[in-house]
Amino acid sequence: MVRRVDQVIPTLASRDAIGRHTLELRELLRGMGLGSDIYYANASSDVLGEGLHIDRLGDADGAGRVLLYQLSIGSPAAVAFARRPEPKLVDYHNITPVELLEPWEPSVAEELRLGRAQMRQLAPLTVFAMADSAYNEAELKTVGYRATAVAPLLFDTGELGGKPDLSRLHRLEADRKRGGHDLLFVGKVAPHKAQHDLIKTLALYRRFYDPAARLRMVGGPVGEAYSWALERLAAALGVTDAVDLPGSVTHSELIAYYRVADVFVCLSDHEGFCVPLVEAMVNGLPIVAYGAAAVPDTVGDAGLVLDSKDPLRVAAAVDRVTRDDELRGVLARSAAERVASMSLELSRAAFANVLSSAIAVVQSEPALSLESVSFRS
Amino acid sequence: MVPSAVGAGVSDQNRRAVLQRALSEVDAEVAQRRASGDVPGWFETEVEDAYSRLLPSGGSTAVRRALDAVDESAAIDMQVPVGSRRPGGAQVKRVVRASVGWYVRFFAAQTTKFTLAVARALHVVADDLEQLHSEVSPIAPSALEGVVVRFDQRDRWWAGMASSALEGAAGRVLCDDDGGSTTRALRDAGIDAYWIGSDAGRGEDAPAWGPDAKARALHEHLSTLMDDGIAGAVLEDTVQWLGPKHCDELLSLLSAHMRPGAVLVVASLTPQAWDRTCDPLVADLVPGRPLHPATWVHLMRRHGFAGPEVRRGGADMRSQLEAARAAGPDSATALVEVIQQLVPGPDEYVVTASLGDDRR
Repeated sequence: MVRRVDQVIPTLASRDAIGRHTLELRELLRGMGLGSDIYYANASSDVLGEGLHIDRLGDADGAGRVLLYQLSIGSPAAVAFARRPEPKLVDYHNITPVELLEPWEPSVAEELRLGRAQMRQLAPLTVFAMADSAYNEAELKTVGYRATAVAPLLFDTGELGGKPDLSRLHRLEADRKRGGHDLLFVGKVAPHKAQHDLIKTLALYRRFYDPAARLRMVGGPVGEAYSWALERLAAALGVTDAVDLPGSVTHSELIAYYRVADVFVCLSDHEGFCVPLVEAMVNGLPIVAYGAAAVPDTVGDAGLVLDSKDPLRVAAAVDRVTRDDELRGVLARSAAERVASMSLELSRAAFANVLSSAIAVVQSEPALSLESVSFRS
Repeated sequence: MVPSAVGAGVSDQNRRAVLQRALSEVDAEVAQRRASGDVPGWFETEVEDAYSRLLPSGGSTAVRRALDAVDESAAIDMQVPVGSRRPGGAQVKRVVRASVGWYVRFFAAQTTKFTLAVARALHVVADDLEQLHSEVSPIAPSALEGVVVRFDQRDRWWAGMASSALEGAAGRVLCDDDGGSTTRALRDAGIDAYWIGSDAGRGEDAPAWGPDAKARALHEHLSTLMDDGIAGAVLEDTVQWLGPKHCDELLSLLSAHMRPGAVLVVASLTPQAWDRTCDPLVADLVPGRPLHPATWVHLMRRHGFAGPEVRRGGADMRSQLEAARAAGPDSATALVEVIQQLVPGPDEYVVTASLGDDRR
């Protein structure tokens, strides 16, 4: 009889999609009448009290206890999780392919490599695994997870909108008065998010469609080298003044960017889900995206999804979206429906269904721990 | 603002048709622009190349970045700004600038000359650094898959030494050897050893070991381990062609997975041995060279291994030779065997050390 499901997460952070998902999931589990705590290896200061350090994972009574691991990167937390004797579940949010980051940020790449290795290592120990997209579920199956299902990322779409920061809004609107469209992307400044392809697109878009267009890329940098390369690229293509890299901003400042932009452009080479795509939908922004990894799953019909990143093609698609009222109307309607389908209420219900299936599997299978397989297997 | 009302009455099917039509028309427009010559090929190539030039090439990006900053600030602007918010202020500044311009230019020109010379010197240093970097960093281990460095199979004189050092190891012992004969020697000595290496280097005995023979790269194997349960390790294959940088990384990875007190044994050729015992083709394929034992001692200490001890392969055999000679003419056969072992080598050594308790 399962009495509680405790979660293990490498880093619990309040501004991170997986961190918010973990907190929502704890509430869902408690709402289902199950005990639930969060164990983390690291946590941002504002959520330290929301969980317990991983060192205390063994303190709780093991009878009727199931552990659920939030897998998105390599971490010692996976080792602590694997060593426990309780039945194990995994919630997979994807791990960025190492080759996309390694040339730029070798240390981050090492964590990703470890994450992929731990993902394989956990497969035989896990009785049931969830993924937040069909794309991610396919990866789980590829490395040997036996029982899997798609379970939505839990987040409140209502919190993705809100009031803009007025000071930032006025500054952005002042730029708009000088003419030209605003292209927006939101995400960490990192090679796999391919901000360099956005700059290339801007260069062609300005030359052939809108000489006054701007590109705003909001997000904190993963490392220095790639940000430096982006600045150099913008200079080499003569678009320095049209490229805005404001770094990490507050939520209300972010809303100002969404309010002012004309189109959200995502050319990432890899996305496990991409919450900013949903933010764009919530804030009424049409989307042009390259269909990499889970992007088509997230966008659905709410954006123009391209099968290549040819900068001229992306530029033409952006132009089309900015001047075709019928197309934007269709995208807006699809976006509204897509957002409604991702409501927290519906996502909770869907996740609860998957959890029930997972618990049924747990009750029918013996638990495995790292000791029971060791690295001989 | 998105005109959501426009799409309100459109069915799912029609919506998809609108999206599909838009994509088709985008493709047609792009094709038409290219066909008409509206988009010069050189421009698109230039856009692509602009990024390619910025891709990381080794570890020198930070140096180049710093040098760019130096270049940008090396020249002194002698046109002093004359703008002013005060009435007549700009005029006064212009007069001052004109009257002292000859004086300022004299110093500015010399200072600029100096800073440009310094910047040039830094570029020379950066070039040398990149050259050095490319020479000391071996090619990626993955590019060396299939390259097998064959030790002389007749004698692995260090196997007994490794067995003694690892005797009583409380757990599994990783053995990275070519062919598996050292692994076999350790297992025969009652040590719980398992073999790791490339498929090409798999020995005849290996398949019988089942899960205790893992045909994969050492780095990859270590990356998949989740605990610090390794009680000992013998490295004698991979370490032959790794440069200092990758040896350092290997020890870092290894020490993270070894128990405190775990014993590490490194058996290697000396760098000079390449010229005599290695197939020339292999030597040409492999840019790395075996390290000198002193380098291993340094790297081991750096990663928390205590009491590194070096033994050279020739020493025991020379003493055997002396013993055979002292035994008189009856031992001629034994003498010949020892001489055969000494010519042309061996140029080999072993470094043994144990992981300290306070490494973390």
